[in-house]
Amino acid sequence: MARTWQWFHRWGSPPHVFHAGRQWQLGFGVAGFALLTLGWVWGLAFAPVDYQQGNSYRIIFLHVPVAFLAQSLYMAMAAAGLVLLVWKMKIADLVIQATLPIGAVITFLALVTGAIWGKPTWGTYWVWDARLTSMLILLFLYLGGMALRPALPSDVAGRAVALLLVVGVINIPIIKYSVEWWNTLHQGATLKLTERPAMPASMWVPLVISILAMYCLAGFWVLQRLRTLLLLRESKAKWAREWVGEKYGL
Amino acid sequence: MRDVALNWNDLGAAMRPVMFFALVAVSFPLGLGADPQLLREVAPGLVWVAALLSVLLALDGLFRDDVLDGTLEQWLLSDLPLSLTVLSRVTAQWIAHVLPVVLMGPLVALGLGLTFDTALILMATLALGTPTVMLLGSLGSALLAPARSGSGLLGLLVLPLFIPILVFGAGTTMAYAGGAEVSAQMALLGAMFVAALSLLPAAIAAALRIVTGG
Amino acid sequence: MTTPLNIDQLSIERDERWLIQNFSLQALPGQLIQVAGPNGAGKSTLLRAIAGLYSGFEGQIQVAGAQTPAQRRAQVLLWTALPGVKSRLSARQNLQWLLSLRGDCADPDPLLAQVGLRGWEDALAGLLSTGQARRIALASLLANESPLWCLDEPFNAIDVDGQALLAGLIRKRLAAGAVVLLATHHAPADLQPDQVVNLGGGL
Repeated sequence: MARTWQWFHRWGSPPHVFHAGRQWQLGFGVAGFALLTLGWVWGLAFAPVDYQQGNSYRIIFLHVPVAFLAQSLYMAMAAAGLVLLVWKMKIADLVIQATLPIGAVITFLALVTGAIWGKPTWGTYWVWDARLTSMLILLFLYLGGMALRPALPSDVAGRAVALLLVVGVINIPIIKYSVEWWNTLHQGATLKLTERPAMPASMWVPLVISILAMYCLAGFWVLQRLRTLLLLRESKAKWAREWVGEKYGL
Repeated sequence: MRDVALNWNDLGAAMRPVMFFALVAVSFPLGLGADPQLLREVAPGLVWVAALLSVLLALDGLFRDDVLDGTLEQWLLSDLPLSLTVLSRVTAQWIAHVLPVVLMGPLVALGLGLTFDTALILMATLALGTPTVMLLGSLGSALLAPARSGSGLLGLLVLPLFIPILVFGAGTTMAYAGGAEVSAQMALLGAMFVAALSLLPAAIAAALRIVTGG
Repeated sequence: MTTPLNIDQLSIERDERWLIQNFSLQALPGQLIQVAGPNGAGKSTLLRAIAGLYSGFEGQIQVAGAQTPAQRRAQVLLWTALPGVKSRLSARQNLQWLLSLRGDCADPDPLLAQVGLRGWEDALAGLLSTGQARRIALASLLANESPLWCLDEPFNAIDVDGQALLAGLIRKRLAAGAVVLLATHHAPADLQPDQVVNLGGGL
C-alpha cells in the first residue's frame, strides 16, 4: 500500500514526469517505429490478397489500429479525469489536455480511412453503418471536450472537462448499443460488412503488430505533448529553468 | 416551490420552447413537401428531433441567472443538499418548458398523419424520454454556467449524449407503427430515466461546485 | 474554546499568479477584521475560500473548529455583491427563500418592516431600486446567528440610512461574540476594525 502511494506521489511530481517521461517517450518511439515498419511491410507487401475484397482490404492495417486507438484514448482520458476528480492530481489535467487533440485527430483519421475503405466495399464513401456512426459520435464527444476548456475560467476548466469525459465514457456503451439497435431497425444486413471468415494468421499477425505499433506511437505523441505542457506550466520552476538553460545554453 | 413560482412569473419565457417546437414541426412539411406517405414515415423522428431542439432551448442558461444574481452561492451555502435543490430546479424547468412540448407532440404527429394509437405511443416515449434528456442537458448547462456565451457550445456538449434517447424514442414509435411489440423498448426508456434520475443530480451538483471553484 | 477563525499558511494561486502567499490570521471573538486591497487583489476569493466555496488554495482554514469546506459552509454567512435576489419574485417570496435556506421559517413581513420595506412586500424585486433590492437581503441578516460573517463590499448601493442599519447589525453581532470579516476599500468611520489585512501589492 505504502509503495503504491509512493509511486503515485512520484508520478505527481512534474520534474519526475518530465525526465522519466523522456525515457518512456524514447522507448515508445523506437518500439512504435520498428513495429509499424514490421507490421506494414508484412501487411502491405506479404500478406495474402483477400479473396472477396482484393487488395483494398489492406487499409485495415491503418484503419483498425486507429479505430481501436480512438476509443482507448477516450477511455484513458476518462480514467485520468477520475484521478483528477478524486485525488486532485494536477498532472492528470495535463494528461487530458495532451490527449484530447490527439484523440480527435485519430478519430478523424479512423473516419476518413473507414470512408476510403467504404468506397470499394460498399460503392460509396459513407453509409450509416453502426460502427461508422458510433465513430462519428465519438468525434463529437472529443470536440465537445475540446470546446469546453476555453469557455471556462482557467482554474476550474480542468475539472469541468474531466467530469464531462467521465459522463461521456459512461455513455459510450449506451450510445453504441442504441446505434446498433437503430441500425437493425432501419436497414437489413445487406450493407453490413460480410462477416469475415476467420482471418488467416498471415493477415491477423501483422494486424496485431500494427495495432501495437500505433499504441506505442500514440504513447510517444501524448508524452511529447505532456512534457511540453509541463514545461510551459512550470516555466518559473527551478528544474524547468535549469533544463532549458542546459539544453539551449541560455 | 420557488422554482415553480419563478416560471409562473415568466410565462413568456416558459412558452418559448413549445412555440419553437410547433414552428420547427410546421417547417418540415413546408421543406419536404406535403406527400402524406412521406410525412407519415418521418413523423416520429421529426417530432423527436424537434422536441430535442426545444429541450436545448429550455436548457439555455438554466443556471446562468443563478450564477449572475448570486442564487447559486446561496444554494452552495445552504444546509439543503445541492443535488436536491438542483433536482427541483430541473423538474420545475421541465414542467414549465418541456411538458407543453410533450402534450403538443401527439397533436403534431396527428397532423402529420400518424394514427391515434401511434400518436399516443409517441407521447409516451416523449414523456419517458425528455426528462432523461433534460437531466443530461442540465449537466451541460451546469458546466457552462459561468461561461459568457454558452448556447452554441451547449448543443455540442450534450447532443451526442442525447442520441440513445433519440434512437429509442423515435425508433420505438416507428416500430409500433410497423406493427411490432414495443414494451421492451418502453421499459428500456424507463430504465434509462431511472438511471439518469439516480446518478445525474449528484453529477450536476458536482459540476456546479467545480465551475464555481469549490 | 476554539477560535472563531484561524487561517494558517494560506496560499492562493490564480492564473499563474500568487494572489495570496503564506497568509496567516487569527481572530478572537468579537473582532472586526477589514480586508483591504485594490480590485482584483483577491478579497472576494479569500472570503469565498473561508466560506468553503473555493478550494483552489493551499494551507489550513478553520472556522469555529470546522475544517472541511462542508462544515465551514454551515458556520459562515457570506454576503456578496450578488445577494441572490430574484427580480421576478416579490420581496416577501425572496426573503422567505433566503430564510428557508438556513432552515429558518420566520415570518418575513416584520423583518421587511425593520429594513424599511413596509408596504413593498408584494412588489417584484425587479421593480424595486437596487438599494431596496439589497435591503431584502439585508433583512435576511437580521435573524442570522452564524459565528462568522463574511461581508463583501456590503456598503455598496445602500443609502445612508441603510448603511447605519447595517453598521448597527454588525456591532450587534460583534457584541454577541461573532467575528465579522469586512472586505472593503474604506470602512465607515463608526466601525473601527480590530485588524486590517492588506492584500495585493506583492503580498
